[in-house]
Amino acid sequence: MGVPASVRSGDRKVGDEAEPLVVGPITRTHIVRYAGASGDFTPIHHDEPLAQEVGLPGVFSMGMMQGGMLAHLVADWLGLANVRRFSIRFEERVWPGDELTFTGRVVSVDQADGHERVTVEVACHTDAGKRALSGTAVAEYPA
Amino acid sequence: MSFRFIVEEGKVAEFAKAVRDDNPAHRDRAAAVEQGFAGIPAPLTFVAASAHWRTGPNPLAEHDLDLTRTLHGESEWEYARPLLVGDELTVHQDLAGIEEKQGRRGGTLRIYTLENRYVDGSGQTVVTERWRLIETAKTVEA
Repeated sequence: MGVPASVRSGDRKVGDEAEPLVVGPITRTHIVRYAGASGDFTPIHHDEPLAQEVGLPGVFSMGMMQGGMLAHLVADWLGLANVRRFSIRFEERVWPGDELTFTGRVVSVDQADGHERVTVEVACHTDAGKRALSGTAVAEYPA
Repeated sequence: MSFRFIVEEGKVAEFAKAVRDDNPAHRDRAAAVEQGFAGIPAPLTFVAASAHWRTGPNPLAEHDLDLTRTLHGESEWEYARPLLVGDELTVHQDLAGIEEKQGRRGGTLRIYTLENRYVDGSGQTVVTERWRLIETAKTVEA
């Protein structure tokens, strides 16, 4: 995506969709890189023998890894400085080999307190058709 | 309970790379200024990196959570402004609530809400983060 365009009041309309962002296939390197960056060293996300011992096929990513990728879509689309709220629900696990597609759609545009408030729904799906994350974000712009 | 969390330039660049955020503002001060920021901004979920600074007991420590049954259900963040490199934050951690619900497959599940407030040097709450952790009922199959 590179340098995001600046976003102003009136730029985002109900039904507008973000340009989808595709990442993957996810590798163990993505997961370990996020572990180092975030400090999340919960063993089940990097210790393959341990994951198999508890009956999993192997390691899976931290939900916050794909959560951070989804936040990137939101920041570039709505303007990092304009985002007031971001929320995500963790629905399905992401495994090495999954290709992830991040999407967003504007669901409402309101005027309040001299600001335009844009609310979007966002999601992350795997190429197996599973929804790994759903979420919402709210951004405000001077009217 | 609270702890310090400093927003560092190298960690912001590393975190941006880990979430595939290619906005040059996260690694180049001139690009950040060109985009209207007073300094290098952190990505929206950068507060996750405060895990590197956390000390002391987890607010859930006394609640005897069974981690083998606990899922990270939801997270949300409210922003007053973007975090900037150089911010010296105090993180206030609280257990904001415990809710019990009837599980769909029987048994009782518990939802713990953890709230972290990130307060800057001027006393402003810059980011408020809430995590909902779900301790599933004992009868649920893995």
